[in-house]
Amino acid sequence: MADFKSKLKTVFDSLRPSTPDVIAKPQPPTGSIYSLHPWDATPSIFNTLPQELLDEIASHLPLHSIANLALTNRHMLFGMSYADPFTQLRDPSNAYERAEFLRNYEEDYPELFICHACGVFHPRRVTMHSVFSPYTKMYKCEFHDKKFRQELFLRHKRCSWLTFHMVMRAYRYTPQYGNPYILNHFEKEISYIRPWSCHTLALPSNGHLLLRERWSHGLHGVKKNKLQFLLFRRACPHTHITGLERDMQIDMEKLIDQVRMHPQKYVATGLKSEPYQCRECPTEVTIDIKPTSLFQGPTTKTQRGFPFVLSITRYMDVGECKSPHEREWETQTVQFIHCKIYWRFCTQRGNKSPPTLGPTYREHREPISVQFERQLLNSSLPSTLDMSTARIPVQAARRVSDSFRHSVEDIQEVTG
Amino acid sequence: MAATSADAKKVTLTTSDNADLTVEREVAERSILIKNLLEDIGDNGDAIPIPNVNEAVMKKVLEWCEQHRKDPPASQDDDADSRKKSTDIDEWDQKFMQVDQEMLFEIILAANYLDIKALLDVGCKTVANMIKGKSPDEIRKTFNIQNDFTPEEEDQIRRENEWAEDR
Repeated sequence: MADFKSKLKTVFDSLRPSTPDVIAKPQPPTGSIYSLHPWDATPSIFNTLPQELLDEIASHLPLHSIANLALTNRHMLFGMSYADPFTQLRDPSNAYERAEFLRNYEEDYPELFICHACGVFHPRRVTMHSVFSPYTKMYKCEFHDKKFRQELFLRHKRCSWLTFHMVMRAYRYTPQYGNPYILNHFEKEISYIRPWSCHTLALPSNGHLLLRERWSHGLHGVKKNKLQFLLFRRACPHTHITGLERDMQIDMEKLIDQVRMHPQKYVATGLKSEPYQCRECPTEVTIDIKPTSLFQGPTTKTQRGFPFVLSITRYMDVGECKSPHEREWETQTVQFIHCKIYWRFCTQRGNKSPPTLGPTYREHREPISVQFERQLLNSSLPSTLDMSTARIPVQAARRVSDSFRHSVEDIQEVTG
Repeated sequence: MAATSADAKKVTLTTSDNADLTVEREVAERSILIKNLLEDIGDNGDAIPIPNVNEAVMKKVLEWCEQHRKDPPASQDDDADSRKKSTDIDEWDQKFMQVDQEMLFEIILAANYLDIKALLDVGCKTVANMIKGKSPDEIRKTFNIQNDFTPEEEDQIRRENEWAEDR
């Protein structure tokens, strides 16, 4: 019993605080990284600022930027200790900020991706077990899908932000980080607008992901009542506000009538409209009527039977695809609502109109269509496609998907 | 020393490098420090010494004060709101802040010393915008900061953050 009491006493003694200092020194938060000495720091321009000004600057920064600033050198690590970013990042309510901070380590994990809803890395692929053999598929985080509901309507399908993120990751680092070709696809004679086919391509340019979605059809087979289902309505969330939808429809009908009336005049060059630029988001639409022999890109057998090919092309800049709150992404995407039979897109969010980029966004910027076509001619796509073909076994070559085959044909035609 | 000119509304400021700058009192009073000084000592015509700010910086600060002479004084609520929006800088202010980094930090220090809250806010927002969205390496390149962490310390920092790498 005495032993137990003495043991208890030693335990209580150890818990009792030691004699406090006369003036309590401010202690930085516990954690081994804070034991570094700020006076060892090499001089930088920030050393000229007193602590109160560092705090003032930090007050204008999001949490992940404060953490990144703290990791630049010892002086800043101490300078930012008042804001205490590393403790705050652990808070579950700061999951998005934590995900932004974890982008610093993204390059180290090709098989993981950062989930902005959970604020952690998830595996990119998961292995499933079917009756016959195991297979892998893309990991889907239900919290991410619930939290970030904005989607882009591409090739008559809803595409989430993660799809674009994976493509851009592959371009930013290496193809081990994602699939750069997942958006490159050719679909012929889409069921509910059968005569039309659609070809999509994604390319990086100046750190941004550019998309081209081209709908095409043989000119003499176009029925006017089908046009409204095409790009005009869904080109971007602002078409009904800016009046682009109506302008494009009227102009296209004029172009079609022109070519139908004087086909000989346009046999050599075709006819092209000016690009329609949305003033609220980075979307452009062009309308082309080209002789079938000059049309660059995949076509269907039916289309090749017509003298002209009509194509409606939408160019988009979806931004850097680093976070789902990028301005470019948010302004071009919509939420979809399920209406028993089909998915209806909703441009209004609550009582708010769709977000816009502001009037200064387009200043000093090259048109997206020009950037895309130059990038397609110049650089990466042929080389990356070559890399892919090298990975495909000869026996499997016949089973290569239409999309990939037509992408290669497209490049071969362009590069001549 | 320089006295107020014939126009009684002018005051003279003497900078740290002994340069005298004469400005209108309304412009100079954008600085709370100068305003309080003038109220305390009265406008007796003496030059006001500004020992912590040199001529070049003072000219820039006065240029800003001249542009914003009619602005209403900022309230506490404005402060709280402006803290949340760091990209929200006027076009004129953005152009005004297109200076080299040394001058930018000097302006921030001068605004702090002269107690010009709005200018301090613009300066801090400009620096914050330069930091936003950048990784530690990119911030180092932008501000020419030398990485003084040893590899062991970097490993340590790395380990500290591994808690978030949940797989």
